[in-house]
Order: sequence, then structure tokens, then C-alpha cells
Amino acid sequence: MIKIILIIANVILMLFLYFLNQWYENEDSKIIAINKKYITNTRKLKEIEQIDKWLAEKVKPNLVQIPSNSEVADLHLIHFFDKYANNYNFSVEKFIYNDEYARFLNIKFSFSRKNYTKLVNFMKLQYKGGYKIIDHFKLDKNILEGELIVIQPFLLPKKKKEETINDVVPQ
Amino acid sequence: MAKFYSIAIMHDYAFVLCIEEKNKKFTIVETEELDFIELQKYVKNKKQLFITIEQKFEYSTNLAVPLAIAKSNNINNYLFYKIKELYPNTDLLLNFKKISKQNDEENITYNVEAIDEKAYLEALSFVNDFSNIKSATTNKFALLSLANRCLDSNSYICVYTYANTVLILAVEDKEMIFSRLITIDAVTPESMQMDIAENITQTISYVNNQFREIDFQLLAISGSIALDDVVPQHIMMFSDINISILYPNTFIKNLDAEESQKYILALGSMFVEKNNQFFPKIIKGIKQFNLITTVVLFFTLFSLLGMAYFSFNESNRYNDLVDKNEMLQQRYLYESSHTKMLPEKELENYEYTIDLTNKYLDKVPTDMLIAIKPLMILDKPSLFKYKVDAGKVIFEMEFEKKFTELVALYKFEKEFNKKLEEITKKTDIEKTTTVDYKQLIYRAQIKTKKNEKLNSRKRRR
Repeated sequence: MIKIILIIANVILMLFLYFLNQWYENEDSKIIAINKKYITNTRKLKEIEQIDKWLAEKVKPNLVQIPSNSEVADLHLIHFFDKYANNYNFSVEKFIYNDEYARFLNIKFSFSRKNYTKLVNFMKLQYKGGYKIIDHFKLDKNILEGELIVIQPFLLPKKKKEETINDVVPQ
Repeated sequence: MAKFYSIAIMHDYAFVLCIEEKNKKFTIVETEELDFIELQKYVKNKKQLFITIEQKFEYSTNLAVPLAIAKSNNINNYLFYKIKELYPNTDLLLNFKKISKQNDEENITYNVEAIDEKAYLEALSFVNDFSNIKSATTNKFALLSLANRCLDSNSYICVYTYANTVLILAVEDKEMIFSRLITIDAVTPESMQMDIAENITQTISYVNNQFREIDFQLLAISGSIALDDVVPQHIMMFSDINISILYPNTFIKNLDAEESQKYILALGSMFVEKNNQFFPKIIKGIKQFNLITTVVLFFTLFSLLGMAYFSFNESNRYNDLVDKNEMLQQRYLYESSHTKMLPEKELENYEYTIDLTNKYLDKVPTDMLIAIKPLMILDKPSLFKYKVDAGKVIFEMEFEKKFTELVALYKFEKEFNKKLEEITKKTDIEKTTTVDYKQLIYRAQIKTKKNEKLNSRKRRR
């Protein structure tokens, strides 16, 4: 009788352990899936952190400013010309024209290369709210002369993708 | 050290030995003489019982079984029905063995021992749990087993007496060929002795006549007769046979010679072979059930241990995963709290700026300027022409440096040429260098190739 009781107890314990193992396996699968999600999301968060850092360091200082209308955009370009015209002997090469998103002003420049500070300042010169591109230049022993294009963004380009920050941040 | 109990039941008395076995040596731990009614209480919860019982009905015969009947079950049934014809009202319990000497071409002869199953079970009723019975038989087989164990002779006659009962066996080649149980009714002890001697002498004569071809070399006496002088003397007077006392002194310890005669059957019950044991179906069933439950118990126990091991591993794995989960959750929460989620408007602004930058600064050849920077650090160019034409860079540079010492020129030339070589490997340019050692002037000219303009690389963000 004791043996029968022991057998029954063993069988009950075996069943209990079987279901316990099943439960463990199910829970393991769930936890593994959650852990994978945590790893993926943590990696995404780190990427977002890096992107944020890059945006703050590299993009934020150069954020473009969209003027309210084309006249304001033109005035921004003209103000830039006037501001540095004397320093670098600016002359208009091609007056304001535009493409799909921006307005442009081509400016000729010419100044002595002997004034090193002036030369460095010219190279560092930035057009706030837009871009300054040196189209061509010639540097000889005495003079630096050439042409630069000042670009004032004017219209927002159409959005290409609809993905938002919510798509990559775990909820 | 195995401990077991040998029990012999005679005339409502039980002779019990508690024995320990070690290395095939038996030591008597305890002896008991009990009334049959006390036996049930004594054997309660005791395992390993070797039992021999006095049975009034014992039938022994030799029967021929046709060769066509081969299977053990069929032989058993055949023999059973043959004897059942003789004793139709008795529940029979059989034991049979092949007699090799009496076989012919058509039949095999079996020695069959039959007892009354009902009476046998009743005699065993003192045992509460039949599964504790290791061996059960009748007294003559217990005596035979002990005699075979103690005697070297192959053919002998064995006598056991207890009170007014005389059990006589004739043995050939260790097999019982004749047995007789005699109950003496005598008034006085003297007449009892004479009657016992007479019955034994007559039986010996009968056996010698019946089995003429067998030379019985020995008469082994045991029980009360072994402690008596008169009866053996009478037997010696009338029979020409050597008399010996059955005494298991070689392998039994802690039991003196006189006392051992009282427990001869109990001692014999330890050595009964399987084919001399009687197990009714109910006891066989209980023993088989017990065996099966033991096997199943061990199986379930091992399975349980195996599953417990797996569960333990699963539990460890689960705990590890939970720990990892907590660690990953903490790391995620940390990253989540330390990562700034920019507003959508701000992101759009960034995106717009990046798109425009890609569009308009794509054609600015910053990579090329970075490439030639090491040369410009060594010496300022005397001429630098630069132009972007449809996203492609066209440039020309001239360097001219005058020295006052040849060693300075030599070192500059080495370093400039080395830097120039490195740039040439990375970019597709033409280069011309000349050194005027008379004037101590170093000159170099680099420019984009005439037919191929240096492509500016796309800026990567």
C-alpha cells in the first residue's frame, strides 16, 4: 500500500514537474522575446542619442531660417552683400535668381592676400540661415580673387518619408 | 547483512529462527518456540519469511506426459487434471519436475507433488502480508533441502521425528524418490520408542525392497530421535545401514547441537529450491504485484529524479533570464530617461536643413581641400587656382620655396615629396617637382589632369 501511495505521489510530482517545466519553457520564450525587444530598443535609443548629439553639434548651429516671403529672402542676400562689400571688394556678378527651393546671389570678390587675418576671416565667413559656396578663386603672390554664390533657402522641400520618432522609440 | 526468519510449523507449534547472513555464513540471532496463535503477532511487519508447514494431505506420484505437450502451462494443466480425477473435491496445488531416468520415446515422466491448497493457505494465514513470504513449502521438502546441504552421499534415507510424528525420506541423486509421514499412537514413552523404531525399520526394509537398484549408504536421523539412544540402537539391530545425525554445524553459528535438532525443519526451510516450493496463485499474484509495484516505484522514482534535474536546470535558466531581463530593463530605462525625444517640429527643421545642405553643399569639394592641406601647412602656395565646374573640381597649385642652407632644402624636399606621394595615391593629379641646387630653390606644381577632372566626393552625413 505504501508503494502504491509512493507511486501515486511520484506520478503526481512528475505531472507537477512536467507542467512546471512547460511553464518555465513558456516563460523563457516570453522573457527571451522581451529581452530581444529591450536590446533592440536600447540600441535604437543609443542611436537616437548619438543622432541627437550629432544634430546638436553639427546641424543645430547651421539651421536654415526660412524667410516669410521672397522679398525678405532677397533682403537677407542684399544685407549680406552690403555688410562685407567694402572689406572684400564685392561686386554683383549675377543678381538674384532662384531654383525650386532657394534664391541665389553671385558675388565677385578681390582682396590682398598679404593681410592674413582678412584672408582667414574670409574663409571662415558664413551666411547665417543659408549657404556660402566659393565657385572659383585664384590665389597668387599678391591677391585673392574669385566668385562666391550665396544661397538663401526659401521654400520647404516636400517630405519624402513619414517615419516619426515614435516609430523607433519603444512604447 | 541480511536478516530473515525461518519458521517451521508442527502440531500447532511454531519453531522460529531469526538469522543473519553474511558471506554465506548464517548466525542465529534469536530462537522462538511459539503457539500457532502467537505467530501472527510475532511475524507482523517482519520481512523475508522462510516457512515450512506440516500438511496432512500430501500426494506424490510419477506421471507420464505425452511428448506432444511441450509448454509448461499445458504440462501443468495436464498433470493437474490427472490428479484432479483422483481427488475431485480437493483444491490442488501442484509442484512437478521431470524425471530423466524414466522417459521413453512417446512420454516424459514427471514427479508430481500435490497438496491441499485450501489447507495450505489456511496454515499460512498467520502471515498478514503474503509478499513478505520468501519461501514456502511443506516439511518434507525442508528436511530434504537441509539433508542435501549437510550430507555428501547422493543416496540416503533421512528420518525426522517430533513428538509422535515420524517423517521418512528416501533420496537418490539429491532427489526425493519416496516419503512417508507416520503418526504413532502409543500409550507409554517406552512403547512410543519401540513403535518409532519399528516403523522406521519397516520403512527402511520397504524402501530397500522397492528400490533394489539403489544402494542407500546412510540413514540420517534428526529431531527428537537424534537425542535418543534407544531408537537408533534398535534400528541398527535390524538394519544394515550406517546411521548419522543430521547436524548443520558447518554453516550455522550460535546454535548448539541439541537445540539445533528442534529447529531442523526451520533450518531446512532456508535452503528449499524454487521447484520444491509451493506458492498458491494468490501468493504468486501478490508477489508479482509487489515486484511490479517495486519496479514501477523505482521507475517513477528515477523519472522523478530526472524530471527534478530538468526542472532544476529550467529553474536556473529561468532565473538567469529573469536577472538578464532586469538588467536589460534597467539599461533600457536608463537609456530611455537619458535620451531626449525631440519634438516633431524640431526634427522636421533638422531634416529640412540636412536635405538642403545635401542639395547645395554636395558639390563643394571639401575632401579635396582636406587632402592637399598637409602641403599647404609645409608651404603657402605661390599660386592657387580653383574652380568648380558642374560639381567637378579643377585646380592648379604652385609652390616655390627658397633656402639658405642645402640641408634645409634637402629635408624640405624629402618631406614635401613624401606628402605629395601620399596625396597622389589618394587623388588623381599631375605633379611636377624641380629643385635648383645652385639657387637652393624648391619648386612644385600640382594640378588636375587635363582630360580628367577630379571628382568631388559626396558629403556623407
